[in-house]
Amino acid sequence: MSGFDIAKMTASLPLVRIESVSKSYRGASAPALLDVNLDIAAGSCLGLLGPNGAGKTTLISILSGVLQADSGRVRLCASGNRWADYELGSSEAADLISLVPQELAFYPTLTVAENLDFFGAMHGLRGAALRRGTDAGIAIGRLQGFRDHRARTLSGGLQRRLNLAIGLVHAPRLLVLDEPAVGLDAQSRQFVLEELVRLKTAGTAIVYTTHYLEEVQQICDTLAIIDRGRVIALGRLADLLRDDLVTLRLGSTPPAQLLQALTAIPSVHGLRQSGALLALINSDPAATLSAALTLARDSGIIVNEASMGRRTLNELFFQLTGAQLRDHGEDASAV
Amino acid sequence: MHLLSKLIAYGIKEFRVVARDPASLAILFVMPIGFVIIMSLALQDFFDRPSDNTTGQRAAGHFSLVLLDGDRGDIADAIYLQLSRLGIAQVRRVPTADFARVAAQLRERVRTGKDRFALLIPAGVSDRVRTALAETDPSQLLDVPADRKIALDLLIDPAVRSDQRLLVSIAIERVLQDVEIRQAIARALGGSSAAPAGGDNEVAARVSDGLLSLNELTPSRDSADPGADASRPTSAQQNVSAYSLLAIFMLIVPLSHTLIKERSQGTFTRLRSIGVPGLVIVGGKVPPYLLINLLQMALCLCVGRFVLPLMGGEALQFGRSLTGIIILSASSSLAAIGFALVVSMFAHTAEQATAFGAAAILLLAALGGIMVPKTVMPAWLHDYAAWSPLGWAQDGFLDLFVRGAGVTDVLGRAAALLAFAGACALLALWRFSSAPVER
Repeated sequence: MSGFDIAKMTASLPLVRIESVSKSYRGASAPALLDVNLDIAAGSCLGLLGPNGAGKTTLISILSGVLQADSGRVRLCASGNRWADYELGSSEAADLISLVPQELAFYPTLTVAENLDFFGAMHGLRGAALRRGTDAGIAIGRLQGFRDHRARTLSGGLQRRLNLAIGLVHAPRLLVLDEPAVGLDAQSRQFVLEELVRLKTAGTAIVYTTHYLEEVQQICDTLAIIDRGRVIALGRLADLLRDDLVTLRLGSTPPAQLLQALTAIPSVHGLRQSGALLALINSDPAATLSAALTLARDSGIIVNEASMGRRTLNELFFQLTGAQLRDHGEDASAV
Repeated sequence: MHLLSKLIAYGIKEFRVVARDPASLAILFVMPIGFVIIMSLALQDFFDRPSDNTTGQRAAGHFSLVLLDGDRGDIADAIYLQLSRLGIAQVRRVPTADFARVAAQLRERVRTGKDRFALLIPAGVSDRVRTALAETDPSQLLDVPADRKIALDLLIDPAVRSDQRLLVSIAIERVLQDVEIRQAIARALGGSSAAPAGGDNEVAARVSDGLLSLNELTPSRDSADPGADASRPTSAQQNVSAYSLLAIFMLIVPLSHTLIKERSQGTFTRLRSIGVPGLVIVGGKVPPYLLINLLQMALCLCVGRFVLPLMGGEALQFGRSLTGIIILSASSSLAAIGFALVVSMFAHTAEQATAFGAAAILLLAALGGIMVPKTVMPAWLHDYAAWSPLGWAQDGFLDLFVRGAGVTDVLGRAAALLAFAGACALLALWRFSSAPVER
């Protein structure tokens, strides 16, 4: 087991439960997903973070019924707080879940309204329901002025909004987004993120894959870090970022006497050094930081940066995997 | 009901996508009209005027000629021997005691193009010739009255080119004269059938209106009447259907382009996540392309009928069954759509689909008698031509235009095209549901 079941602790069922899901691609040396367990609650946003090839797209493909897992299962909560008995990929499941692919998955020669109409019809909407869905999509994407414009004539930002609006035409309960802000200018990205926060507040569950840390911090409540097909960290964002490690970035490489003195601090259990960067493993961050700063000053070493109590996502990923998030090697076979 | 409304929505979407792609529409409509006009006018002489003797003889040598032998006497022996020696055709002798039944079968085979020529020698011809020679004064053999002639029927496939037809009938007439002369000389010499020493041509020229004569018949649907003569194929009849069919099958270019774009741009992934069945995606492609194909065919037929005569060409004769034309056009279109779907589903890129698809269509077109009429292909190539769906369709149109066929006559070919379309659609569906998702 590489995950935790947050919603199991609550009385009501989560909207989606992913149980022990594994998937391997033919010819690949390692599994794309291995024993993944996740719960997704209504009105929450789960961030799936990981480098290219980590297994994010595979997981959301399984979640949206496009791929089948080799083992494990995904359960959906029907109304009345009970598990639904329909399969992923069925039209019933598609009424609940909507995938917004990373690509601009619409028809460039159709107009905005024609695209929304078409995908609404594919969801089984007809007549007045279809018109309402199309109007809702146009409103969500703020595409009112472009209703009869052909999609290919829209700017990149508007096309991305249309891509999102199509995913919302049938008012799904779970929105699965595969890097929806890729290639967007700052203004359009902000629009998309704000719209997602609004949807979450209105009760829509969101699964959001990205490798942009800022996006995760802005909209996600829960974070799952995936690496090489495994969930290596899962929890509330604030919990994951809390850190007892004391780090010091010194002005020069510390002498041996200083390192000896730092390890002799009673609350320190260990020390990691990378050049002028020191990390003190300790049981009392405040006392450790105070003593460490005093020792550095007494040794005549300048401290450029000191931190305790909270780490960045990049630091978390580094501490978990030993690799930088954005520089992680790609595994083409995995995603 | 849901499935039907999704199919309709998908069809409408597809029609809009195609209608807004001017480059594809240009390929689908301008190309066949251009081909029909250019090829029909360019090849008009090839179909209507005999070629030079050398070429004609070489071409005729590729044909088989069936000799239906109900006579089983000296005359049939002699005709068979002489025709074989002449080498203008591969002569296949079919002796029979049930002449009427086999002759009827043979008439049908020639009418449908399965055999090109058949010479019918009924029972008793040898006896009748002997009796006639015995009773006729040798001087009268030079000009035998019509009521005393012994006529043999030569059945000719209506789709055979005029020069080949002429060559074969002249050759057979020459053989009949030769046989008659030999019989007459043998009788004069007291039983020997040895040829006279030289001078055959001279004697033959003198008995040009002799005892044995030839009836040339081109059997058609309505011609239980042996004298009826179906129209011969014109350049327009060959080329209008041929290049319309080529254009119909060339829809692989726009269809694969839109389908592969759907796949590579994530639209398929989205549709699969919505739970849209493959049947909707495959079936939704059919109505717009079927309509486009029928329009292509109608346009090309109109060009053949009304525009070609204005440009000095011969007007296209449709035959007698408009329903047959519609059925054959629709089934050809479905076969083309099926083939395009299969190629598109298996190809990884639009370039791959276009290059492979277009090359395959051109190959099947060449094999199926689209670019070169089957009548000028050597016999061995006919076996391979049977593998081309374009060939099935083209044969069907020639049946309708040239051989006077009706609806029921082309149902077999239409069924074959539909079976091909169905097999392709199943393969495409299987590929859609089993193919890995684009990642």
